[in-house]
Parts: sequence; structure tokens; C-alpha cells
Amino acid sequence: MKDESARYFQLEARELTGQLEAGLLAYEKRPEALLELFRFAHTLKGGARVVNHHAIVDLAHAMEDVFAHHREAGTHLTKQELMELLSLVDAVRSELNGESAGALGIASPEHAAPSPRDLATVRVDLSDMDVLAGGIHEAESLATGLRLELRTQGELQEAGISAELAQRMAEKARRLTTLADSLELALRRLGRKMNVLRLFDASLAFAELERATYDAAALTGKSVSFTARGGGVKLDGHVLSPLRGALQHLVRNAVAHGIEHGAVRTERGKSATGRVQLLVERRGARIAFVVKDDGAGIDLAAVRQAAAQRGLAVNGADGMDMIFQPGVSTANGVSALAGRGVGLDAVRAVVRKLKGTIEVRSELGSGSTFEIVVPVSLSAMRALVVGIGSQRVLVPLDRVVSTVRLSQTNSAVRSDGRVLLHDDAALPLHDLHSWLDPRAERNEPRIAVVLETSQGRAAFVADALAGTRDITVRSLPYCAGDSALVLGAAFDAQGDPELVLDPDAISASSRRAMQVDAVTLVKPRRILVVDDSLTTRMLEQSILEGAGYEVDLASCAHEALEKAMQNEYGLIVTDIEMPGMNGYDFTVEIRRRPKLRAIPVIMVSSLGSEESRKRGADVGSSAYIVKGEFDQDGFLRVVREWLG
Amino acid sequence: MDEIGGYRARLAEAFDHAFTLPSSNTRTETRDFLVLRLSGYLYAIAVDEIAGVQNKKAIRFLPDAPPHCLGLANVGGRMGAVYDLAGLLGSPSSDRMAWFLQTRSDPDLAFLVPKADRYLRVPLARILPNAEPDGAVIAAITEGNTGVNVLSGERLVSAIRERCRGRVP
Repeated sequence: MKDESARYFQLEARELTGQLEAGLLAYEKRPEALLELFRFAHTLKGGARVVNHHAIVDLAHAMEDVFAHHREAGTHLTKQELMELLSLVDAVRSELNGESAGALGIASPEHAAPSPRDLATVRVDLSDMDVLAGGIHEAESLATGLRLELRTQGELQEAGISAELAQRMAEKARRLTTLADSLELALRRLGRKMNVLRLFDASLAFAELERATYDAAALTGKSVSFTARGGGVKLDGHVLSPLRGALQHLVRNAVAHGIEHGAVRTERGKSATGRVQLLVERRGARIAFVVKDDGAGIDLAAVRQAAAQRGLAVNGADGMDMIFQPGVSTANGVSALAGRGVGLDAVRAVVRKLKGTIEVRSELGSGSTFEIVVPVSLSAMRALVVGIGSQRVLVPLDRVVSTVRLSQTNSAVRSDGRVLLHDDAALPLHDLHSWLDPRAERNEPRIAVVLETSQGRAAFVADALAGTRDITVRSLPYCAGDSALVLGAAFDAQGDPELVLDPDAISASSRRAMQVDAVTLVKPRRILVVDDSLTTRMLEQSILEGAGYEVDLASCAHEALEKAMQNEYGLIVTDIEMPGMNGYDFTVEIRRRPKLRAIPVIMVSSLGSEESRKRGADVGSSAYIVKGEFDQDGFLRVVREWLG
Repeated sequence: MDEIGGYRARLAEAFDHAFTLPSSNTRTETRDFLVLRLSGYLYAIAVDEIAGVQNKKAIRFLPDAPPHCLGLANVGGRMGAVYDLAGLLGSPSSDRMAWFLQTRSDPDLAFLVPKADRYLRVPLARILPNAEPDGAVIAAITEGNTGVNVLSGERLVSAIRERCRGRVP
């Protein structure tokens, strides 16, 4: 019983501290709320007394004293008193957090039960909701499996059972199929409802942002008002939770760096009270958080100077991007709020982790605007279904800018690969074919999918588009390892997995490949020679070393793969007929692995048929030399073609 | 007497007869196994280590997957990683693989195996532990002239998890 009381007190006390904080922050606009505040403090004290939490009794009593004094005198709370009262609220919270598992005898404050005062709502831990949502999706998938199994019951009739029994079974199967269909439908509805329940109102962050503004203004001695619009816009708790910290940082920054002191503002013809505004708005499957201040704006010259002092090259068209670099700060000194240059880089890191974007606009003298755009949910989304070779993959639809049918007028082949001419820019076209479907025959790419990523636009080639679909992304199981470009997987209508690609990773991989190309052009090249014949290995080694190349040797494909993963090679020369993995499969492996796929592979083989050459080209070899036609000069000429 | 009545009478007779037999003090401790044939070799896995068995389903190829991981599949409603058990044991795979076998150690992992060769109940005395377990094979069972390797599901899973730890493609 004591435990139950303590648990209820925890819930009630958290609600009351939230109401006290909101009331104190709004006090200057609503001084008539004094009586309400007194009541909250009084209720808090009563509850704390029941569970013998003397520290909270004392803190609530101290608040009550202040409220009582003004209630009786008919006067208003001063700014100083408001600050002190907010500190008392913080102290109550600390008590609740620090002693919740001890003095109050509660295992975990997060495992909440219905409030005794309001049984119409329950608080549930987000992780419990995740488990529930996972269970619903699992059940949905099982129902799909059941429906599909029932469809195959017709096979039983061919197994020699009597016609009457077969007819009865068919009838039963029909009924069961109908039930399975209904079950699947009901679970799907439940899943959608669950996804909605997991969404939080963006306004949950408003009170703490107002508090952050208030605290920052008090610390810097500035007068600042905070307004927020967009309550009612809902988003996934897994998105809102990390974003709250980032937004708090932005509003504190706006006060500390942006808003000028009252006298300066008056001199500049502005109102003495600065303004920080937050606008939240839904944009399709994404949500924008816009933090705007009417302060001094960002001094780009100072940003460039700060960057130069840290030895950083200015990037971006105007250098504005430099404010997101670690260590770059234009503050004159370090304070509790700003000046250490460790803030906006962390904000950008949070936004990137949420697969979002952040942009900043600023006008000197007028103020700055930070715009963060994040997806509504990290797991429930609409996806574009894309065919690449024989594989079907999914791409988050909100990241797809456009799909373009490739033609001679909108694409070109350069020395570093194919590019798409899109919106006056040449976007490198990432080819996922050999990575996703290494054994399938490669067709001429037909379609380009253009993506918006955290590092700008990127594009990849596809063979087909198969519409859009609502999906729930699941993480890859631990034992599946980390697949470089895969965000997760989702079940299709038949209950089979489909991969969900990560647009940011595609973009990063594309950039890495380009960097590798750029670097390897100037680096001395090492060549890996793979052949099970000692004589051939030695011969090729002596020719290549004689021409000034560094050479490593491997006697089988497995050894070669191991060496290739550990070292950097500019070229691989391989035999085809080798024990274990042959040269074709070895080349497929090379093309499949992101680290190796850019390395040219020259096949040197005794197989001279046209079919063997074609197979070599199909698996991705760069050149094919027949041993019977082997000559030193011809061999070196091909090597130089690929290595320079 | 109808069919059920006759069946009931036979059961009652057998029940009464059981009381006329001398009591047995030599109850044998046993363990149950599922026996699989992989590339001609017999392997047994204890039934109490198995979380489930189901018919093979479509396996989605996963680029950059760890060695012997065939891809992803719907394993009992979960997103499961499917491993080729034959490959893990150093044997060539075959197209006879028909089942997904889940161990209790990790239900998000399934082994692709052929249909079970048989079900085996073995007295504990006939299970000969390996003095130095070699990989996942921890014991042997002798059946006449044939030897059956006993696999540890837990050791198989922990070896895979170890390989996946901190793995970067």
C-alpha cells in the first residue's frame, strides 16, 4: 500500500511541478493565476506529507509562503521571486528523480500507472509502446503467413484423400481464409492506430523552450519574449525527444548571441524586448521547426575570422555553414550559455541522426532563422518501391526529390562514372546493381532516383519503379551485421522482407567513392596478383615490379580477399580457374564490397572462348587477357591503361 | 460395444495390469535430439535448445552480410537473419535445405537445414562429451557403427554473434 501511495505521489508530483512551472512562466501575462499556483503548491505539500517526503514538504511549503504573502497583500510576484520559485520547482524535480527509487520505494518512475485523479488517461513508457507495436506487426505478419498457408491447402486434394474429405477441408479452409483476412485487416488497423498513439504533440516542448528562453534572458540581463505556434502538430517520440535538446540550444543561442541588450535595441530602433519565435509546421511526411529571433543577426565576417583562427577552410557559398563546425564561436567570452563553440555542431549531429536537415538564414541587424526539418517518424513511413536487377528495395519517399528516365540528353558518362544532369548540376549516379544483385545480368540503367540527403542531393540508377507503400521499418537483426547502405527492412504484403535503403548512406558512399578516385589518381599504386600457379605469380610479379609497381601476391581468392580488405590496391590481376573460389566469383565479391568495388580487375586466364570473356565482363572485370596470347608489353599496356 | 467403448475398456485393462508389474527402480535419464544429415554427416541438436522449426521461406539477399549469412527472412513473424548451417560447419550446402531452425539463444536468427533425419531419445550415458569441444560440436552419440555429432545451439549462436561484434562492412 505504501508503494502504491508513493507511486501515485510520483505521478501527481510530476504533474504539479509541470503545472507550477508553466504557471510561473506565464505569470507576467496571467498574474491572476496566483491562487491556482498556491493551490498546486498546497496539493504538492499535502501529497508529500502522506508519503513522508519531508524535503518536498519543505520546498512546497516555501513556495506556499511566497504565494500566501502576495495573496494576502494583494500584490504581485517580483521577477526575483519568480526566479526563486522556479528554482524551488527544479529542486522538487531533483528530489523526485533522486529519491524515487529509494525513499519513495518505487522501482522506476517511468513505469507509470493511471493517476488517481484522472483515470481517463494512462502514461505509458515509450519503450513499452514500441514493444506493443512490434508485437502487433509480428501478429500481422503471422496472420499473413496463415492466409498464405491456407491458400496452398488445395495441394492436399492431390495427396490422395477422399473427395468428400477434400471438399470439407476446402470449405473449412475458405472460412479460415476469411477469418485470417479479417484478422490481418484488424491487426493492420490496430498497427496504424498504434503508430498514431506513438506520436507526441510538438507543443510538449514549448514550455521547456519558454523556460530556456526565460533562464537565458535572466542570466544575460536581457528582456526577451518567447512565442510558439504549431501546437497540434504530432511526431514520433523518438524524433521529438532528442530534438528537444537541440531546440533548447537554439533558443538559448538566440538569446545569448542574437538578441541585443535593451538599450542597444532601442538605439537601433527596435523594441526593447527581443523576440524569439518558434513555428512548427507539417510538410508532408516531414515536420519543420523554425526558430527565429529579431536580434543582431550573424556576423559572417566574424564567423570567417573564427574559422580561420582554427585553421578551417571556409566552405559553402557564403560561409554560413561554418557556424556548424566544432569549435567555431563568435562569442567574446565563455559563459554558462555560450562561447565554447560546442553547440551548433551538436545540434547538426542530432538533426543528421534523425535523418533531417538544418538550414540557417541571417540578416545582419535584423535577426536569424534556423530551420530544422525532420521526418514525422523514424519507423512508420511511406516508401518508393524500386527494382534493381532482380531485387526490390524501398526508399523513404519523403527523401525522393524526383525520378528521371535516363536519356542521352540528361545523362553523360565521364571518366569517373555516369552523371545525371539535374537542376543545373551534375549528380554522380550511384550504381547499386552489383552490390544488390551481383549475379544478375546487368542491363543498361533506365531510371535515376534523385534523393535529398543531409549532405545534399544524390542519385542512384534503377531498372523499375513499382509504386509506393506504407511500411514499418525494422532494424536488421544483430546477427545480420551492418549492411552499409541499409536503413532496415520491412515486410511486404506476402510477409517477406524487403530492404529499406538509407539515402544519407548512399550519398556518403557516393562521395567516398569519388574521393577514393581522386586520391588514388595521385597515389603510387600497389597491385595484387592472384593465381594458384607459382610460376604465373612469379612471372607477373617480375614484369610488374620491373615496370616500377609494388606487387603483393595471393595464391587463392580467399587469401586475396583478405589482403584486399586489409590493404589499399590500385589494381587486381587474377586468374580464373583456381581451387575454391574461382576468378568470376572472386570478381563478384570484389564488386559487392563497398571498399573494393572501385578497384579495376584484370583477368588473366587460359580460357580463351568468347563465352568466358563475356562472363568476365558480366561479373565486372575491367579487362581480359588470354594466357595463350600473353606478352609482356601487351600486359603492361593494359595495366597502364587502368593505373596510369 | 461401440468403438469408443472398446477403446475405453482396453485402456482400463492396461491401467489395472500396470499395478500387477514389479516397480522399476532403474528409471533412465534421457535427452531428446533432432538429427540432421548434412553432407553425409549426422548432427544432433537437443530439442530443449530449439525454439522452433518452420518450413523454409523466401530469403532476401543482404549485401555485406557476414560469411554464411544467406540474408533475411520472415522467421515466425520476426525479421530473422538466416545462416547456412552446413556452411558454418565447413560442409558444402545443398538444395535439400527445407527448414528454418530457431534456437532459444537467439530467436532472431534461423539456421537453414534439411528436414530432420529423425527424432532421437538417448540415455545420458550414451552421450560422450568432447574433452575439448571443437567449435560447436560438444559431444558425440554412438548408434551402432554410426557416430552422431552433438551440436550446441548456444555455441553456434555465440560464435556468430562474436563475428558480428563491431563488424563494419
